[in-house]
Amino acid sequence: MRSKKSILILLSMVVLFLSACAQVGKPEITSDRDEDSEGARLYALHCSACHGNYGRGGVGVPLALEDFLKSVSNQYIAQSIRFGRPGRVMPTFPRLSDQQVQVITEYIRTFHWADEPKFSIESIKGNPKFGAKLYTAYCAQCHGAKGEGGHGTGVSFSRPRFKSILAPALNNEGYLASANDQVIKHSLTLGRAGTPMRALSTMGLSEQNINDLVSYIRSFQILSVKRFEMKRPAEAALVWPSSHSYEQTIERLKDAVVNNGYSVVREQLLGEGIVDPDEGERKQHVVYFASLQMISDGLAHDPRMGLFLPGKIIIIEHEGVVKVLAHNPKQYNALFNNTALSDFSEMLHKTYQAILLEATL
Amino acid sequence: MKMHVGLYRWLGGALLLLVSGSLWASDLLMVRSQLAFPDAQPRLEEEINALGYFTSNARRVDIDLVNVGFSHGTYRAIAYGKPDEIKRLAEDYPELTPFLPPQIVIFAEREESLLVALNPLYLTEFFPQPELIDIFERWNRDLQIILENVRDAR
Repeated sequence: MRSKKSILILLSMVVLFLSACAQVGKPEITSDRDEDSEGARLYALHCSACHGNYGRGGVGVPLALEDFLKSVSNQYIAQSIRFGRPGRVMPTFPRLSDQQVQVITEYIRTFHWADEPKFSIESIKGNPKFGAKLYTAYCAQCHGAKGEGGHGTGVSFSRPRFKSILAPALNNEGYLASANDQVIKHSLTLGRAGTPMRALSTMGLSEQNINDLVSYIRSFQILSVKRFEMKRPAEAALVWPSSHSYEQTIERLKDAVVNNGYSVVREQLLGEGIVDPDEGERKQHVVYFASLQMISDGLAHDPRMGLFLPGKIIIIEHEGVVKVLAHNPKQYNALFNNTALSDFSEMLHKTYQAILLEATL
Repeated sequence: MKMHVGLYRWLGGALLLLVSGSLWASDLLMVRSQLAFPDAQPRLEEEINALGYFTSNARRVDIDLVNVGFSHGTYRAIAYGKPDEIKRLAEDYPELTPFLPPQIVIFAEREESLLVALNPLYLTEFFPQPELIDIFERWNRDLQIILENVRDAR
């Protein structure tokens, strides 16, 4: 009996996965789509790097899901372009004119045959306290205890994932500014075919229950204002003077890397392969270090993190003073517009500090 | 002849920039190329070289990724620069060395490739010396051309 149930669950998972692949992988070709249009050109320029050609998804969520396009208004899409998703990779596009946002929106609309749904602008009155209980029971597992969404970005970096998309952050100020109450209610009521989002109306929830949930989700808006303030650090680089000779500092640094649980993966002169090695003595040494955990965590949080991975530390002797330098990990959040990197960048900052301290003291 | 090819590429790229300026105001620059990774990486190196930059050996980012559950780990970083410039900048501005040489990372996403680079203009906030600003602006212009050309390559 139990094994039958397991097989049924497994089969449903496979069907859900295949249906998601079919939806995302092969967007319908609509006769309305004009690949020479201004919308197509602007989409290719501003959106396709993350959302993929024809909205197939990638670093960003897939837009070519039929049910997504059936569930959101053009205004929602346009507002999402305007406001972005602060702290969730999706930037804002302040330089795009309203006309440009409109033609991009119209182009996205052509990814699937789906008439634009019309929503009233009427606010929904529900009981957010009861909504909070329902949220914990029905939504938190995917969307996070406080609406923070799934971990990672979009379908992300070519690694196997069962879910076709990650659950969006419902507490994101960009989302809440883009989706009015009726849009949220529509998604909760009918779900999103081709994604793990189920229709709550088929799970025993009444319309009043769903209104309560909408009110609770709307209450995130007040909480989210401060959360996404991301400041850049004052310094882009960490710089530590060393009290040892250039050669000693290199050796001490490599020991410090190992003592802190990492491996030296490569060392070379700065600019090796670019600057001629025979062109005079240069005291500019680079040590790359990493651990498997560091690489996989970094890329899972944001596939673009490869810009700063593996870790890189430079030892130089300049005007008789030996210095050890690294880029400052505290700039990652703001640079990548990704608050999911907070813990990772904090951890890396501590790691760099510990290694630099041990090497230079 | 090779110089002519480089010149035409630069002019073509410069023309593209006239119609796509706003994209390049972000701190991170990112484009999707329809070339699969095995074609995209050499094309990227070719475009970098065409503008007179030298490239280093590609550095692997994907150390053992497959062993921790990634379906594949095709991810490289290509550093590039002009030898005299990199050498002089490292000597004159040691605090800039963590960002030297500039690099572009490239990784596979299904049958396409994504390219990401730090916008050199990002550094102007931290290194406001006029000489450096001029260099960052030139790097930014050249980087745009490189990325545009790889993005549009078929």
